[in-house]
Amino acid sequence: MNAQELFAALHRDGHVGAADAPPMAEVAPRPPWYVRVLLGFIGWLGGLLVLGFFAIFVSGLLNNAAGMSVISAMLFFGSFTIYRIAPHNEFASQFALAASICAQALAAGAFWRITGHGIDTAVVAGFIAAMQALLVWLMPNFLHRLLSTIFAVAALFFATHDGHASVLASLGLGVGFVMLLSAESRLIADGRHQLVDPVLNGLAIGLLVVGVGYLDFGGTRWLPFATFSALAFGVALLLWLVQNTKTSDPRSRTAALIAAVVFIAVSWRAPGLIASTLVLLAAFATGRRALTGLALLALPAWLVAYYYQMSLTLLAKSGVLTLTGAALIAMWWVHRRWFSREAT
Amino acid sequence: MTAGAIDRDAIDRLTEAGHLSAAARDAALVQTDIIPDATAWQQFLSRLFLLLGVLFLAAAVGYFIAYNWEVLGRFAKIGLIEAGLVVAVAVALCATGDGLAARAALLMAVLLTGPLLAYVGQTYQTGADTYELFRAWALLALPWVMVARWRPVWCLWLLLVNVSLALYVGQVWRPMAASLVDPVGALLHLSVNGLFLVVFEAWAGRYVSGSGRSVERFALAILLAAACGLWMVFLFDYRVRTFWQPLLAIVAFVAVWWVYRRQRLDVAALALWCLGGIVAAMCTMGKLLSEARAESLAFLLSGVTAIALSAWAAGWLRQLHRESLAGSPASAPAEEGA
Repeated sequence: MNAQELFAALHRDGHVGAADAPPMAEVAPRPPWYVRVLLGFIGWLGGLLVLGFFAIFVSGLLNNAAGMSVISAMLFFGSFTIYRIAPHNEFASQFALAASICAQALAAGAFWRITGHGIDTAVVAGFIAAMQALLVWLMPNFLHRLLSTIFAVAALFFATHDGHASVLASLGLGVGFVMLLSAESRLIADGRHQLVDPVLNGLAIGLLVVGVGYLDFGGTRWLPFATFSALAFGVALLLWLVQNTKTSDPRSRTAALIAAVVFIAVSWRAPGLIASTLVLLAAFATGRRALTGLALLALPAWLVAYYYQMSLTLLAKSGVLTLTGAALIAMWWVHRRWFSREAT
Repeated sequence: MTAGAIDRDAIDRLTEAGHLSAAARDAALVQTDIIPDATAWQQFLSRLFLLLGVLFLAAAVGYFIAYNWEVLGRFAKIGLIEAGLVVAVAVALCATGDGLAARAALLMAVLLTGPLLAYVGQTYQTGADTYELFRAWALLALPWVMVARWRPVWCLWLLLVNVSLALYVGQVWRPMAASLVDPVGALLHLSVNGLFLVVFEAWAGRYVSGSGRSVERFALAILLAAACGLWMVFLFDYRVRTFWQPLLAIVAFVAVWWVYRRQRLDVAALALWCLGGIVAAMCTMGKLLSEARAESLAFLLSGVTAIALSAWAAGWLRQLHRESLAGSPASAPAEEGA
């Protein structure tokens, strides 16, 4: 369907006033997702190499908080300026990303030096999360915002994993992700597309990263508040379902909610699985195919991580998986038996 | 704006420019089939429930066997796994409809073969090395993989083959993670995945369905990683370097470019090619400068090389992407240097 046909169809349904598509400047299509992955990975690698250069070139830099702060501020400023001056130049954008990655590492190092060596790593992680959130707001570039959102989510989980705050972080990120999804169209209409798109994708990838690696953060023991985190992700999943089944018939809606409650009930000892499932369903619902594929890949990756998670015995994990697998097969059968003709 | 098919980005630009309201954007995404309709949801949920259910149940059996629960006797355990295998094969034989149930059952059979072999090794102490378990797993599962004719199962099989190769090299000489930068390991991965890719691209791929070109790209990723590994061995490991290592790496890279640029345009495959090439170029730059005792410059210029090449690659791949969308012939020589 081209723009003209779309506007004609929208006009027929009363969504737009005129049936003709407005004239718009030709804009080069955005690169496919795998090109962005390539750019992000190399930009990150380039940033670390530039950091290595500064570490060797400026003698004693990594022991000098003031030096690291000054170079970090200069690099941040340079990166921001390049993004502003040459937003569509590939080389300049890659250079700006690498400079910013280097600046982030130096800023974290400076914070660690200033606050003292004995400081809890969770505090440094909290600083990194706050810095990344600020960068999401400031840096006018899709890739930078995407990476900063992913780093912010991972850092926030690392900072809070051992305390009550982990439950708030899980609830905030899960529910925040769902609320942002529901407000996406309104925010884009308000002119915030450049911010919403990378943040939504970054939150989703961040939740997958946390979902796969979550239990490993606790080392050899069950994280103290993991059960509540599982419930928090469960609440987010239910909220997403409630919002997205508003127009479904009551029978389907009830069945979907019951299925979600059963799924959460049998997999409560696997918070990462619930978080990954939320991302998978949300990605499919919004037509984000690359993200859907990534979420599908995250599930077998989660299985591998779960195997090596030491706080549960293999027998207990086998029990969780048997219950979850049996529940899913039962859902497949129920869906096939009573709901598969609904579409026609 | 009216000629080509409209995508999400174009709809978002129209929304941001004020031509579409928030509600109109939602309607536009439905009209253009960007977000799934009820039929697509039905299909997706049906597949998701079944495949995840099968995957989790098979994993549960594997975890259970690994736990080695003494309450259950050896015959009960082997009976449990073999009953699972028999049920899976019976379901595959009897299943009707779109073939998804049969494929899911075959996936279950492939997955259960591993725990069965592991259990036999665990109980009877066969003395077999781990790589032999994976090799036997891949060989025994091959008939089911061929019958399934489904890319996710082929991906799993290729993973088993590569794990077997990595463990073979790892157990004899080095840890498993290093098999791609071991001269023998890299050569094995390169040859096996290259051969697999040739067979799959030339003949077998047309008989296999599902998941786009995932198997081909998975094989290609390992092939290029192995070619990069050979290049690294030549650069950094003077004890085992020989002339054929860089030669083979270059031949592999040229062949991949020729196939996926000249014969069959595949932009994702070329993105993998670019990634491998950039890593190899970056390491070469770093090695040359560090040999010349310019360590700080080595870091800086390696970084600049990576940034410059990735910027060039992004422009080139973007152009190829446009070319593939337009459906133009793969061989347009004037565009190579873009």
